[in-house]
Amino acid sequence: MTVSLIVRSFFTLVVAIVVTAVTITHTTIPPRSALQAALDTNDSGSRRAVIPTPPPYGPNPTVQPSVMSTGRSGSQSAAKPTPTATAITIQPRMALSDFFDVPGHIFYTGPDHNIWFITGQHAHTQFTGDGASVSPALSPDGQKLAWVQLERSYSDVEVTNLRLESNGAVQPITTTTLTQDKYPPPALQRSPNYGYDPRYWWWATKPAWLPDSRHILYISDRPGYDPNDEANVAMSIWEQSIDGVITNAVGLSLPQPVVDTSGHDSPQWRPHDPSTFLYVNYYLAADRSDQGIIEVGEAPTGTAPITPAIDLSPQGTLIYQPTWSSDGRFITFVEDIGHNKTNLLVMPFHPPGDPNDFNKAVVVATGAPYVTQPFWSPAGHYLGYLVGGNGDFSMVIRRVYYEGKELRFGPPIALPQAGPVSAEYRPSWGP
Amino acid sequence: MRKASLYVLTSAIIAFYVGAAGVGIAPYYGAITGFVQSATSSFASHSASPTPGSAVSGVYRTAGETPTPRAAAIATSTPTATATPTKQEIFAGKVTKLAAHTAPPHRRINILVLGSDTDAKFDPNVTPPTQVDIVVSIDPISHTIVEFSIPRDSWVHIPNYAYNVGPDGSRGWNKIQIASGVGGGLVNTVCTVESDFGIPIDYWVWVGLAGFTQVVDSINGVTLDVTHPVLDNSYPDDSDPNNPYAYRRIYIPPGPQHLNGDAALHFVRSRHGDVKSDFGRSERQQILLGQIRRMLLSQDGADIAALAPTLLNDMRGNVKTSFSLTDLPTVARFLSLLRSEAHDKITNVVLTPPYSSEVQQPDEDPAVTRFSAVPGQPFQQSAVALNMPLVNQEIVNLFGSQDFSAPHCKQ
Repeated sequence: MTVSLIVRSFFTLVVAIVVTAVTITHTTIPPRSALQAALDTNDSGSRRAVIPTPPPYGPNPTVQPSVMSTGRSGSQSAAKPTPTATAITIQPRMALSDFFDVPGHIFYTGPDHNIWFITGQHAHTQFTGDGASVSPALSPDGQKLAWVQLERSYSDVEVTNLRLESNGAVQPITTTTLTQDKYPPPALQRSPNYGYDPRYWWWATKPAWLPDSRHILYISDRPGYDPNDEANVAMSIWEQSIDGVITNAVGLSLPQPVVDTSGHDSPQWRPHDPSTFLYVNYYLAADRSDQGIIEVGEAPTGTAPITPAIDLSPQGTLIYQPTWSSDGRFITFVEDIGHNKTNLLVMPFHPPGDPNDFNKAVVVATGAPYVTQPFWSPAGHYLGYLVGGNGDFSMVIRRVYYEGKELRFGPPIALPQAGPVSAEYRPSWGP
Repeated sequence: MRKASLYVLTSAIIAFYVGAAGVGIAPYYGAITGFVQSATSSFASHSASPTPGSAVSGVYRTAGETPTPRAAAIATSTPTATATPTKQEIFAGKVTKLAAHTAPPHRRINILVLGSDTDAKFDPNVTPPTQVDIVVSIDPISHTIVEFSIPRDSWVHIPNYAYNVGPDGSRGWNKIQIASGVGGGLVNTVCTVESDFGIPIDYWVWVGLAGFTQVVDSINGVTLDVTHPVLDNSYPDDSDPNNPYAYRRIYIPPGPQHLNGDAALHFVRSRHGDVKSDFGRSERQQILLGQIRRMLLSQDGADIAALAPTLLNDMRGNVKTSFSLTDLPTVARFLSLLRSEAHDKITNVVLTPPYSSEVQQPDEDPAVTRFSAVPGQPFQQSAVALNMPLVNQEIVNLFGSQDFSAPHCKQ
């Protein structure tokens, strides 16, 4: 009897604690499955078409790389990617008149690690369906989508040729595996264990297009695992032609050796500029606190293979996801302001890069607590970003007004048709 | 059986919701597994099922209907708490009322939160090493909380241990993580913390992480800011009991994001390739602990009450504690302090340099000398050497004083 009372008291106490700790509300954003169920139930139009899941990545004698490159000018051909034929047109979901009319297509990663897109006043449409595809990036010409296929211990950048229909439909034509990071080019292999020891595999992720729509930047931890230096693993930035030519872009352009680095992140090429790119360099500050510095550099050439980069944010700042405006005159970025909050700011950019421009940055949005992953519409009329707190993130956009050399932003416009969005990867807005 | 690892969520729940008990009550060193299981089964039929998403599912409707913006849907949703209270809520109300008449503690309470892997690599008859050692100290007077992380590789003097001569010339030195396995079990870790750091431990909680992933998923994940990329080439892929020594690679991009159970586990467990070495992992554990606490205490969190039976079920078999059942009535009283301004006054301390430095430490313990490069010679261990003068000064700053005179640990 006494034991029973004690048991009951304990449980009810725990419940009391929890009940009193949390005001009961039903503000939970529905999980993707609930959203999808609602969509499937209510969709009286065409069924959703999902791009077929790419075949499992594995050794393919026809795509084994034979030559590799160690520099941009001396690039050698890596694997010749093999196209995968697809023939399904993805129709956008039902249009709802109260949704904001999104010009073009916004591709993004869902919390389910599938790629989705929104266009016009349509509800979100699923583009991939395997639960392991993320980080979409539309090419400037709108004809190709780079994205990342996640595997258990590595990832590859894929490129899907698209045709964007005037009614919002998307027709994937072929899909190509651009990187070969489970079975890398022989010259990059350091161990006979490639192929079965996951410690020797690589990540390739966060693709971003060059203005020519023929080359891609991405980050990778090549050359990967070094059994003699287990801790020395970090992402660096690589450039690769969609024809398969690998070029190490930023790996050759560090301004000076940085110790205690966590690696590079968020590379992005400046629009309409053949040689300038930016990224974030993460390394420890003198007090061993985290810092992420925006750096901008010019791509190395054959005559100047090493180009010093310029720090655009001061030491001690912790920056995420710097993003060029569509005309390349401004940089938006996210700053960790402490206390588990982030702000979204915009600063001007003057080639080749002026650190004083950071002092001119203005806050566009204040996180409550988080604002993250800024992205721009192709013509620069809108700035988008993600907001979140306790739960999944949602997408908002702001109208951009150009007043001389300055920018002004309209009020936030919610895009509920996007549903929940993963904040791990940047959305991409194209034609 | 699912093989998870860290413990932070359950640590948070225990430390901040079941933690901090009354003064002068004899500790009861035992597992709560039994009564958690009983309580869960007793109330399972009465628990309210969470209905996430029901209020906003109407955002997506057939053509012609007016969509409901998410913000509006949230604002107009009706809390179910105003409906007829469940039996669970009635009991909760009674206990809350009872707790209101319970005197709060009048001094600082220190709780040692411990965590371990529970994978198949470990002999089930041996207490696994404690890979997390955090002192959570709650001061009801100043309304402050201190989270004091001791690196698991800290080279310390361990009671009941016979090997290795330390810097003071005494024998019995090794990493703090092995203290639980050399005699006395988890209590020996308590004794180590008390004797080496002078922090009197009122209660301890050990959480195995077999249920960690399920627990985080039960609360719909946790949102936090990843302050640098996490890239681990040798993350233990020990979910398969037939291959517990396997490895996989993980990558967590930097920036704010929402983590599900698996990702949260990677975040707090990864220890290779972190630019801050094992100190970085301690920081990540504290970050996750803090975010879960904020989420649970926030007004716009999920319906945790309805999830309580699920949470308890997830913890079943994975929690051991010194809390006595008779301690529990003071918990709700203490909670009111945590819900006030106290939870915003948290000091997180990780013993990074200059409080410590990474060293190679010869270890003569026969358990490891078989790995020595030269047979019969000590094994060279990577360890953390503590700068004790600085550490002791920091402890005095944080805890007010050090109590070496009357340790609670009874040998």
